[in-house]
Amino acid sequence: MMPNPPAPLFRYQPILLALGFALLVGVAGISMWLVQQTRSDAEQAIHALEIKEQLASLQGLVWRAESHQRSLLLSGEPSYGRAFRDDAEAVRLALSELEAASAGSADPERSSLLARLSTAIDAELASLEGDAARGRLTVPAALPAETNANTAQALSPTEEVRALIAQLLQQEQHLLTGEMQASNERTRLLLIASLAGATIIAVLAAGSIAMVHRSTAQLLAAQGALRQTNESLEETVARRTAELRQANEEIQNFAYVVSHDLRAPLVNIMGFTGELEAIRKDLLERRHVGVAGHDATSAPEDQLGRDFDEALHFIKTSIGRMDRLIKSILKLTREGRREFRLEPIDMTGSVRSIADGLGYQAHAVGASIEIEELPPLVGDRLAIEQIFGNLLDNALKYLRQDVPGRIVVSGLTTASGLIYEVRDNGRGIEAKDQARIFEIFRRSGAQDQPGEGIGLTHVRTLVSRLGGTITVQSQPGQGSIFRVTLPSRQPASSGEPVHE
Amino acid sequence: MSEHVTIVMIEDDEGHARLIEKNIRRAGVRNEIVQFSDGTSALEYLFDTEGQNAGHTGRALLILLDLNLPDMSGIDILKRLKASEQLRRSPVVVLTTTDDRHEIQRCYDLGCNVYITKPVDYESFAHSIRQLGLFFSVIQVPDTA
Repeated sequence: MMPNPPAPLFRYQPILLALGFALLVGVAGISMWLVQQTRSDAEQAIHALEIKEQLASLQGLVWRAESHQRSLLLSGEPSYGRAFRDDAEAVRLALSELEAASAGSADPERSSLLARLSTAIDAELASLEGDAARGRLTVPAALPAETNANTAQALSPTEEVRALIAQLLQQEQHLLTGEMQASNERTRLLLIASLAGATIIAVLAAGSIAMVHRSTAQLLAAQGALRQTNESLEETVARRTAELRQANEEIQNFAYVVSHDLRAPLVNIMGFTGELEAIRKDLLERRHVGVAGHDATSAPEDQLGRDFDEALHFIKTSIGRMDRLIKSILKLTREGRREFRLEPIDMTGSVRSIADGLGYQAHAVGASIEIEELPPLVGDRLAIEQIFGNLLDNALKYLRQDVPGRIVVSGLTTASGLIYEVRDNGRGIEAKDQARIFEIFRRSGAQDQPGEGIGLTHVRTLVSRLGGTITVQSQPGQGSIFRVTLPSRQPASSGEPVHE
Repeated sequence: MSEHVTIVMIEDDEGHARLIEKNIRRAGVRNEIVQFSDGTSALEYLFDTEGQNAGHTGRALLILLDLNLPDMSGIDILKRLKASEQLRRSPVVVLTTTDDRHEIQRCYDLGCNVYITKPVDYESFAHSIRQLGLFFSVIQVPDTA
């Protein structure tokens, strides 16, 4: 299984991305606003230029009107009068156009100047028209004075118009310069905003790529872990199936052996009960014969007595045997049901104390038990004691008469688990019996030791319940090695039962 | 069956052995019966250390064999007997509680001469053994080589 640490970047990824996009939208908005501003600046600049142009043409028209009026006054040609009237009309038109053009302007200075200009031009035109009319009516002699007076009188509006136009032009120029500066400033800002936007886009892109890369890597890792889990799951299923099949075979074999072995004493009980019936019949016949007067010899009576005792003896021993068999089967099934408590066990100490318990027995047969340094184990203490107690007991029971017994318990830690070996130099087990000895009620070799043939069955059941295996390696007449392989477990929380 | 034929009974259960003996005797069989309660001691009697006939030459043996022995399977003894140059002609009667079809076939395949299932019911058991005893009294047993 893959440990699943919470990936902070993975969790904050959407927030980061949203933040980045919000920034980007902000920058874009600023850019758009700046572009809009720049455009309106340009429009205002154009507007100022137009007004400047209109002012210039207005100035020209005023000059032309003045010049035509002067020509009219000097020559009296009516064509000049027409031209002057046309000019005056054009000046008025130009003025109204100018006023219309600057109508939208919010600039109060411009408006007031324009209003003053308008009044000045009206005054100028009125004065010019008045002069023109009088010039045609008055005498030319009076003209210079008149002209002088008129000129002096007309000069003031003319000057005013010029001054105002110049002021307006200056004003417009000033505005234009301001607009240009603002425009430059905005262009600079726009550039900065664009650069900032580009930078943010680059950063976002890099960040997104990194995040995608990272999350892809995480996904791949998760996928790999999942595949591994699946594969190990299949392996587990296959192993469990094999274990179940083996367990099933063991149960069938167990049932067969048990039914056979329970049947055997039953046959005895029934058989000797039948024998008892035969004896009774015999006795009754004898009595009948005896009553009839025939002398009964003592020998057959002794024989009958012996037969009777023998039959009773066999019935009793058979019942005893059945009782023992049933008890051991019960013990075995009880052991199969008992909940294991896993705890760390100091194997060297535990096996030594088991060996000490067998000290008297070992002394009696002149055998030595040597315990090497054993790797510690996490397991069920009672089960471990029963396993090694049985193995050591067997090793002591099946020694050879001619050599002093030597039993060595050793252990080692391997990648696949912990291996413990009980090695003896006893009589050994024939190859054909090496599998049989683990079956219930089966024993190997000469039957010179007491036992029901249940010890190793019990051992194997316990070992397999602990998740291990037991094998035997033996050379008849040389000795045997019982090898117990147990899984190396981490110490579980105290008292956790083992689930099979 | 001539008097010099020895019946070798390999039967781990002493009670069964006594019942079989009694019922064979009831059928009038007077031959010597040698009983072994495990495979190891029976093989020691039948063969010497080299796996040869241990001094049974010229004698006639009839073997009564139980399949479920504590130390080995009767099948192993049957194989040894039928593989032996001296003892392969000696009749082997398998007398066991097993009535498994495959087991019976296997025994005949290995050269067993008679296969009898021990009845649990004692009437039948006694009857079967008496019949067997009667059968013993009429069959010919060859001398061992």
